[in-house]
Amino acid sequence: MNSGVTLLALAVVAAIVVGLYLLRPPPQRVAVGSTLLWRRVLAAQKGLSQRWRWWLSLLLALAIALALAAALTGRDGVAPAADPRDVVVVVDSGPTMNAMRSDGRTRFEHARGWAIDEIRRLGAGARFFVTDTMRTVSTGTFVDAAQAQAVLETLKPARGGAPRFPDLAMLPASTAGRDLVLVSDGVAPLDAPEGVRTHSVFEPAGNVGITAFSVRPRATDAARYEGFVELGNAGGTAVTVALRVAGAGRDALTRNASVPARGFASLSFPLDGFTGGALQATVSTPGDMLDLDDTAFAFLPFNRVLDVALVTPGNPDLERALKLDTRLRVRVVAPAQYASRTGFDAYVFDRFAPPKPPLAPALVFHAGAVEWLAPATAPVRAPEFAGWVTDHPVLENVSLSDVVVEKGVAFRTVGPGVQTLATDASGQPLVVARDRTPRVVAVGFAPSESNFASQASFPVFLANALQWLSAEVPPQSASVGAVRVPFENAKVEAVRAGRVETRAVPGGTLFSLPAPDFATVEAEGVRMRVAVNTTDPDITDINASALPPAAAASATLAEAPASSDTPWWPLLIGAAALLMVLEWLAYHRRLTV
Amino acid sequence: MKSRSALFDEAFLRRLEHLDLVTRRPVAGHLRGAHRSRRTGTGMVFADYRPYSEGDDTRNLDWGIYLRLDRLILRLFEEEADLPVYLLLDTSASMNFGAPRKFDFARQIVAALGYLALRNYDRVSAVAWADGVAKELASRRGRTQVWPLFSFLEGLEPASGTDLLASLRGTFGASRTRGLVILVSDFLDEGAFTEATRWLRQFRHEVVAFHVLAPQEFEPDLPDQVELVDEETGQPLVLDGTLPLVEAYKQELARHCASIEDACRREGWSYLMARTDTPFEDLMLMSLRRAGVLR
Repeated sequence: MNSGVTLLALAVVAAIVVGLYLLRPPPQRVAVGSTLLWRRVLAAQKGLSQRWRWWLSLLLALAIALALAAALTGRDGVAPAADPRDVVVVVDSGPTMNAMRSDGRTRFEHARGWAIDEIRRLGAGARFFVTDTMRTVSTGTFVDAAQAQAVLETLKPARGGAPRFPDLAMLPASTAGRDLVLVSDGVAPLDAPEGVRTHSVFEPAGNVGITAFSVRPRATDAARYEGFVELGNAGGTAVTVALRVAGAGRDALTRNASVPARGFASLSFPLDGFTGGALQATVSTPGDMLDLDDTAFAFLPFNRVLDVALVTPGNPDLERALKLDTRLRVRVVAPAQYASRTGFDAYVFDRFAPPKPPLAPALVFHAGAVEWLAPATAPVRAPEFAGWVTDHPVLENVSLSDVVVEKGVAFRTVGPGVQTLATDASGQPLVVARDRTPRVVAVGFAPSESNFASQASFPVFLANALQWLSAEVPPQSASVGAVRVPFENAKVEAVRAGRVETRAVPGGTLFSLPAPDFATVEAEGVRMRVAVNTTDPDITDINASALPPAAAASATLAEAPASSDTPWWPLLIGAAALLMVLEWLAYHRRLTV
Repeated sequence: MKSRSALFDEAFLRRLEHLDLVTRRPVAGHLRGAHRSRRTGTGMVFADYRPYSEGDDTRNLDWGIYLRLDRLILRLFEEEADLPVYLLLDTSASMNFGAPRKFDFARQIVAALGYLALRNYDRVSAVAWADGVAKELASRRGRTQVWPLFSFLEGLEPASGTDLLASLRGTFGASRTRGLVILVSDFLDEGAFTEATRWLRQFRHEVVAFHVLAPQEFEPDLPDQVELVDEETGQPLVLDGTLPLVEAYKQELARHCASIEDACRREGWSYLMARTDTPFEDLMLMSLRRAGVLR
């Protein structure tokens, strides 16, 4: 509503009030013998004359009606005429904006409400470009107040990730003077450029959150695991919190921890009894104003026996060596029967290779020429190991210096994802490993064609190789929000969110989780775990604001054109209410008619 | 006496016949009547002795004293005279107010007292006054004059304003024999009542003031916004009929009545509040007797 229409509306309201006053029925006429005594009474009361009372009453009624009318029209956007301008409104939508304030509304709700009020206040006299620090919404160009409000209504705070101030170079060109306004709690370092006016929605709040949660092998026994949790306290007083860790295989584990004021505390605890899989850690604290960091997930590896198929025309040494490993359940399969046997966790091919790659990892000894393996050269006689990679898990604690090979093959080239683990004197690869799913370790000779099987390092090599082959893809850690996994067409199932919508991207799959969760990604027979957490000390520390608290900030920004005045229609409503009370008092004291 | 007037019925007139007007002081009538006077003469009540003078009525000589003292002593008797009664009826427009009208009630008081006076052979004058003397019935005496008096009263209607002092000046400006003044009014007079009483005091009349007010004046029932119209002046007065204002009015009315009563008591006059909702017979037969106006 523009100012002309507003003035017209106010004039109509004033005319109606005056008209109603003029049309008021005259007082009832009553004949009395004499008004002598009444005049004496009125004279003793020394009140206002009737005419003055009438005018006073009319003025009060006019003031009330006009205040109400102005407030109602002002609520729809009527504001003092402002110079045309372009205003860039950047709302901080970072994770710390989810923190609650003392009134029960989040910092983000305050920020968005303030931005909407400002846009209404400026009204039709300005154009707006609205965006946020997490790059989730943008008006794209300068738009009017209604469109800007609509965009702001759709904006939601992120629950993970790092906010940053948008690149000013990406903003559309502005023909008018441009104002930059940032609404933020000042916790995340946004690096706002010069000239940006900042409105603070920061209010100190208590928060204790999980800043780290991991599972690691115990130092004394690598087959057993322990959990590690770090807790951060953003509040100004030390608090004792209850930590609860839940998972499969046993009852939840609880621990109490005292977290110092504006400090951290860490806990380590054995995870005996949990069978493996997702572990959920939850911390509960009275007066906690940010729930985002109160939950975290980690992955506990499974301890299980591997089903291994030894596909060989016959190799007792190899078979015996494999069966000595208690973590393996070995089935010997003849090459002719390979196609009909499936369901193994890993394969060991001895002088045989299927024409198509197996679905499970494979250790291949002196295979023939097949497409999926690294191509080999012509057979070589008595190759000697000249060097090997000792820091690879397959050759960890393995020495090949005493291995004598009667005959074998050297691999000609090394393709993408294929790493040479050992070479002969001429530098040709004799042992290679392909670190792509499914993993493959290829050895250029058979145990029966060398003395490798009689070496002390042979069972170590087998154990290392099968451990490396069968090891699942290491669990990933990701922040809440968009997560990318390096598998195409992957399916994602989360503990809390259930089946998750995915989107294919080149070389991988993208999915999004809005809160801490534990996702299992499956693609092409490969399974990968992703712990999606908000374990970030910078998020937990919601009081590390560079801005003053909100109340003080409003005063300091009072002079800023785009953020100074509060909406004045509530003031008009208040004034009207006050005038009504005044009129009521005046009427009952016979000051008005 | 058979009633021919609309003012009273016959039964009420018959009951009035048992009443007499009472004066506290000896009257100053010139004609023989039924009231004690200051003059000595042919009355029945012994007053004093004095030596005989030539020309005295020898019928009043005390022959017993003559025989004992050999002196002529004359016995004096109080002479009974008639009572000049001045009926002053307020006919200002304010008397037009009330249900029943204050004027009708006041006229009945005047008529009743006039009837009593005439029946006792007192000389009765009736004056209708408002902002001055509006109409006057000349002094008359005898029972037969009742009907002219009633006729005079029935011919009156309230009009114009109130000025008690001017009316008293107009009535008693000419020489009037000292007597009983019956003043019937609502006393809603802009002028000071005390000033009027002070002026009337010089004639040494015995005064009975009837203060006639309607119940609506004691308990006004007004709407919230009201324009009061003065019956006398016709001028409007806009006010709010709120409880505090009505209460203030009642207090002012009480002060007004008290001031009139005080002024009457100061002059030794009788004051009677006559509410128009009081049964008229109760007023005449009980209240006036209790006040010593009638016996």
